[in-house]
Amino acid sequence: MDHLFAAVVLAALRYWTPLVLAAMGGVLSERAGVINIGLEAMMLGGAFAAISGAQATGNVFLGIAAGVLVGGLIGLLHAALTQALRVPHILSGVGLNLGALGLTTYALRQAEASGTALATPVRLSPEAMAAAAALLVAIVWFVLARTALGLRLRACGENPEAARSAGISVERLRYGAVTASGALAGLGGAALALAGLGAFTENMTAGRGYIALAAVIFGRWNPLGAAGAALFFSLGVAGEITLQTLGMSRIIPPDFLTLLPYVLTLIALAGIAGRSAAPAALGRTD
Amino acid sequence: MKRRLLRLADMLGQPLAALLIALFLGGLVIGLAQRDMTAPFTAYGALFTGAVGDSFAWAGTLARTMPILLTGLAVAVALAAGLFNIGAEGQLAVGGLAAAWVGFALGGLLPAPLLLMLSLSAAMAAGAAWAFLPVLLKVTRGAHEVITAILLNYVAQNTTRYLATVPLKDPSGGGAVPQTPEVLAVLPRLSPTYDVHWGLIIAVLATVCVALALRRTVWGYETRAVGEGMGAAEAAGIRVARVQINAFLLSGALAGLAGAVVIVGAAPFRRFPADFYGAGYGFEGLAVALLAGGSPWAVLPSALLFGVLGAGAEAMSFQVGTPKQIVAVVQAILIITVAARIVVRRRARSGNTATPPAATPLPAEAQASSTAPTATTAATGEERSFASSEAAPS
Amino acid sequence: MAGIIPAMRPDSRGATPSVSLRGISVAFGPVAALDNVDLDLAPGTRHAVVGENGAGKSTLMKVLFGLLRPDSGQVIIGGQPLRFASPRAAIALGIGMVHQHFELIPPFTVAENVVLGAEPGAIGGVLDRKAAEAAVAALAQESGLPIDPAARVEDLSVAAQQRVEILKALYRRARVLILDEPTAVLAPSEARDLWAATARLSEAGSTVVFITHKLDEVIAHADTVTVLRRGRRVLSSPIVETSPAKLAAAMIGESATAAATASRPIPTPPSSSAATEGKGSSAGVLSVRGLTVRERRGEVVVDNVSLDLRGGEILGIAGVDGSGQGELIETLAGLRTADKGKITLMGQDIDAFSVAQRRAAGIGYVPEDRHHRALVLPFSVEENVVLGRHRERLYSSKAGLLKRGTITGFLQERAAAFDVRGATPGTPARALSGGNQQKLVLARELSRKPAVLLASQPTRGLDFAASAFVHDALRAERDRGAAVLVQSLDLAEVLALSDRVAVMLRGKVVAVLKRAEATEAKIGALMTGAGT
Repeated sequence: MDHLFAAVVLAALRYWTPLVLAAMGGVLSERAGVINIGLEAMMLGGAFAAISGAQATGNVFLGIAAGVLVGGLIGLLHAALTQALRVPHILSGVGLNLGALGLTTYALRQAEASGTALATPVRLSPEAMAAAAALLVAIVWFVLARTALGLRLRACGENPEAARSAGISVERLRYGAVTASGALAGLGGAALALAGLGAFTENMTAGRGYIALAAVIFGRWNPLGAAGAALFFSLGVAGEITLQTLGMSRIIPPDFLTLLPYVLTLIALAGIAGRSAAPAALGRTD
Repeated sequence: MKRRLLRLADMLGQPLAALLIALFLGGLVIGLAQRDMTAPFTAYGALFTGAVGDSFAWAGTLARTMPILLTGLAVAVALAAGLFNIGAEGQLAVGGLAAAWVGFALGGLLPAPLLLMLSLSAAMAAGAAWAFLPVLLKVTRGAHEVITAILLNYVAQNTTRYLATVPLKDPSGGGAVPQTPEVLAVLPRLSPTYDVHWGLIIAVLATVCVALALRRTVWGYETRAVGEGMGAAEAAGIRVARVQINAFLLSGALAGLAGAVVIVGAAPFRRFPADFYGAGYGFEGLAVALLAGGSPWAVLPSALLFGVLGAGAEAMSFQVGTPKQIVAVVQAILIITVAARIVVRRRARSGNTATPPAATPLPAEAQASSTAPTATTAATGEERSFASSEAAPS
Repeated sequence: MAGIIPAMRPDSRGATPSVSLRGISVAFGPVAALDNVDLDLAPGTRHAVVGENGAGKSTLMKVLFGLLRPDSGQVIIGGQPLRFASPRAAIALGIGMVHQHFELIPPFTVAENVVLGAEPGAIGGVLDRKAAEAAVAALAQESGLPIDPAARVEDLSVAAQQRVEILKALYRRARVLILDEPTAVLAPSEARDLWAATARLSEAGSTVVFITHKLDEVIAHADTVTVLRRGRRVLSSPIVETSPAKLAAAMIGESATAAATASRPIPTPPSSSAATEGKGSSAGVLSVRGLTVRERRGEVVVDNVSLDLRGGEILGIAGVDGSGQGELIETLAGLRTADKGKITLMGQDIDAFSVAQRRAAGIGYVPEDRHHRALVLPFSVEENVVLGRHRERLYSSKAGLLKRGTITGFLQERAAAFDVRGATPGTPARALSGGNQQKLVLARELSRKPAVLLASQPTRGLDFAASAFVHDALRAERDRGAAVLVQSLDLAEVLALSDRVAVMLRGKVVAVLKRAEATEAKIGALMTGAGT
C-alpha cells in the first residue's frame, strides 16, 4: 500500500510540474491586470522549442533555455498586443493559442515530410524539475507578497490609474510581468516535453494551459493557492491513472476515469464565489 | 455618393488590410520553412484554386462554411449578452451525438421528415443542456463561464467518445474508429451534382433570423442591453440572469444544431465517430465570431472567409504538400489584427464625440468597467473617455 | 532606517519653488477648455481657483501637474520652464496633487499606498513594512494628519482616505500641493480639520492650491484667488481686495449674476415648501420600516432605517460619503436585497417585488452612476429613452416586436420636453454631454409620472445650467404631487431642495428634521456624529 501511495504521489508530481509553472505565469500576469488565456500557446511553444533546442544541441539545459525563451517571446507578444494595440485580452489569448497550435503542427508536419522526427534522447529528471518548480512557486510568492516590485505589480492590477499617478510605468511593468509569465509557462512546456516523452507531438499540451488558468482562479490569484489547486488537479489525474492500472476500468469506463480531475475542478469552482478575489482592473484594455 | 463610397471603402478596407497582413505573414512562414520564396505563391495558388477555382471547389467551400456559420452565430449570440461561449466545441459534439442517436435509434419508427425534425431538435436540446451548467454557475456563483466551459469541453469529449465506442457503437464495425450506426434520415442535397445540402439554408436562415431578432425584438433588445450595459439593464427592471441564461442556451442550441447538420448531412459522416470532438468547428466558430466583431450579420462573410481558407487548405496540402495548419496561423493573425483595428477605430471616434473633460467625470468613468471586465465586454473593445486617454502619460 | 527613507522634515525639504503658468491654452476637439490663462503661485501661500463646473479649473490643475500637455503656453517652476509634461516630472519638482476622485488602492494598507512608487529600499528588494509604516506615522504626526499606517484603505472613511492622498504627496516631498475640490465629500467638521492642516502646511512654507466653487471657503482659507470663466481667467486678486459678491459676479458673468443667484443651490428654504406641506401631508406614499441591508462581505450598510415619504414633498438625505445613503436608495429601487425590514408603497407591501414590479408600481429612479446604471452608453438615444418601458404594449407588440416608429416618436417628444440637445434618433447615448445624458434619464424616468422618485446625487458632475434644470425638474415632480427622495453628498444641494432632511451616519438615520429646523451647523454636527 505504501508503494502504491508513493506511486500516486510521484505521478501527481510529474503532472504537477508543468501545470504549476504555467499557473505561476498566470498569477504574475493576472495580478498585473492582464488576463492570460494564452498560457496554452506559451506552454506549447515552450515544449516545441525545448525539444528542437535539445535535439539541435544535444544539451538538455539549452533545450530548457530555448523553451523559456520562446515562451517569453510569446508572452512579450501578448503584452504588446494587449498593452500597445489594446487588443482585448481574451481575444489575444485565443488568437495566440490558435496560432501556436497551427505553427507548431505545421513545423511538425514539415519535419515529418522531410523524414525527421522532433525527438531527443536527452532527458530531464522529473524529480529535479518538480523541486525547481516548488522553488519557483516560493520565489513568485515572495516577489509578489514581500518586495517593492511585487507591490507595484499588484498596484497595476488593482488600480492602474493610481499606480500611474504614483509615478509607476504601468505598461512597462505589465510587459515585464507578461513576458515573465510566458517564460514560466514556456519552462512548464519544456518540463512537459523533456521530463516526459522526449518528443514533440501535435497539441502535446492538450489544454494544460487552460487548466493552469483554472488553477489560478481556483487558487484565488494567490501563488500558494494556485500551486495547491494545481496539486489538487494533479492528484486527481494521478488517482485516475492509478485506478486504471488497478483495473478499475473494468468497472468504470476509462473515458470517465479520465474525467475525474476535470469534474473535481468543476465542483471546486462551483463551490467558491467567483470574482471577489480577482484583481480589480483585471482584463481592462483602457 | 463619393462620401458613401469612401465610407464603404473604410468599412471594408481595414478587414481587407488585416487579411493581407495575415496572408503575408503566413506566406513568410511557408517561405522560410521551405527555404523557397516561391513556395507561398504555389501554396496560396493551390489554396485559392481549391477553394473557389470551380463550381465543385465552391461547393466544398460552402459545405465547409455551413457548420462554422452556425457555431460562429452561436458564439455571436452569447457575445451579444456579454458572455464568451468557448464551449461551442463541446456543445457541437453532444449535439451531433444526440442527432445521430435519434437518427438511427428511431429510424424506421417514424417517417423521414419527422425523424429529421426530431433529430435536429434533439441536437439543439442537447447543445443547450450542455451550455446550461456554465451559465448557471456564472449567474449564481460568479464562476467565469470561460473556465467552466473549457472544463466541460473535456467532459463532452470523453463522454461522446465513450458513448460512441461502447453503448451506441455500430456492432457491424467498419471504419477506422468506432462509430454509431448510420442515421436513417438525412438532409437532402440542394443539387444532385454538388455536395451541398439543406444545412446551408438552415444556417443562413438562422443567421438572418437571429440578426433581425437581436435588432427588432424585445428579446434582442434586452439581450443587447445586458451585453452592453448590464447595470443599466438591471436598474431598468430587465432580469439580467434570465437574459444571460436564455442567450447562452440559444448559443448552445445553435452549436448543437451545427453538430447535427454535420452528422445528418455531410457525406463523410451520417454516423457519429468516436473522435468527432475536435473536428474544430466549434473553435473555428469562436474565431469567426471574433472576426465578425460579435455582429451576427458580419458572421456571414466571416464564416465564408474561414470556409474558403479551410476548404482551400485541404486542397493545398493535398496538391502541393504544404501542411494545412498554416491556415490556423493565418486565421490567428487575422482575428488579432482585426481586433487591433476595432480598438483603434473606437478610440478615434470617442475622441471626436467626447464631451470636454472640464466637467468633473463621474467616479464610474474613472473606473470604467472595473466591475465587468469579463471576456466579453472586452471582445467588443473597451472605449475610454478622451479625458482619461489624454491623462495617461505616454 | 534614516538612510533609506526620504527625509521628511519640512526644513530639510528645500525651498518651495515659485510656480507660474503663462498663456496656457488647451482645446478638446473644437471646444476650448482653457484660453490663454496665466496663474502665479507665490511660495507659502494658499491660492484658490474658483469657477463654475466647466470653467476649466480641473484642466488647469492637470496642466500644472503634468497630466495634460497644453496646446500652447508654458509651465515655469522655480524659474525653469517645464519641458516635458508628465506627473513624474512634476513630482520631481515638488508638485503634488490630490484628485477629487482618490487614486488609492483599496486592498493595500495606508503605508503601502503612501510609499507605492517610492518605496524605501531597492525595487527588487524586500519591502520593509515596518520602516514604511514608521515613516508614514512620523509624517502623519508632523503634518497633523492623523492616520493608522497599518489600516487597509478600503476600511477608512472618505476623510481619512483624503489624508492618505495628502500624505502620498508629502511623502514625495511635495512643496506645492494641489487639492481638487477637497471639501466636496467632507462633512463640515472634517473640512475644518482639513483647512487647519493646509494652514499648517502654508505656515511651514508650502504652497497650497485648491479648487472650489464654494465662495465662503475662498474667503476664509485662501490668501489669493483666481477666477476662471469658460476657460478664461477673469480675475486674480488677493483675498483682502475682493468680496463674495465680486467673486460671484466674476464667476457667473455680470449680467447673469442676478438671475443665477436666484436659482443657485444655496441653503435657503424652497419658496414653495409651505404650500406643499399642507397639500402633501395627505398620506404616506412610501413607508420604510426597520430596513437593514448587508454588504456581500457581511457588514451592515443600512442599519434599521425607518422613513416615511409623503406625496408632494422632497425628502433629502444628508450624510458624509459612505453613510449608507446610496445603498438605501438602491435597496428601495430593488437593486439590493434587504436583510430585514418592510417597504410599503401606497399601502402595498413591495418587499418581494422585483425591479420591474417596483417600477410598474410607481417607482422612478435616477441613479448616481449615469454611465453604468442609468444608460446603456452604446445604445441609441431612442433605445435608451424606452429602457424599462420597452415591454409596454405601446412600444412593443404582443409578439415581442419593438415598435420602432412609436419609440422614435416618443424620443422626439421627450427630447423636446426636456431640452435634450443632440438627441437625434440613432445617436448613441455616449455622444451626449453629461448634462444632456442626465436630461435624457429624467425624460425617461418622469415619463411614467412615478408616485415615488428616487434620486441619487442627481447633479453630480453636471455644470451649473444642467444642475439648475435637474433641480427644477425635481421640484416640479414634487409640485405634481410625487414623493421625492434625494440623496446628495453636497449639503447645499440637500438644503436647497428638501422640505425635510434626513441625516444618515454609519447606516442609520440619526435624525429627520423639518427644513426650517435644518441649519447647516446642526446637520453638519449630525453627519459626523458630533450632534445629539
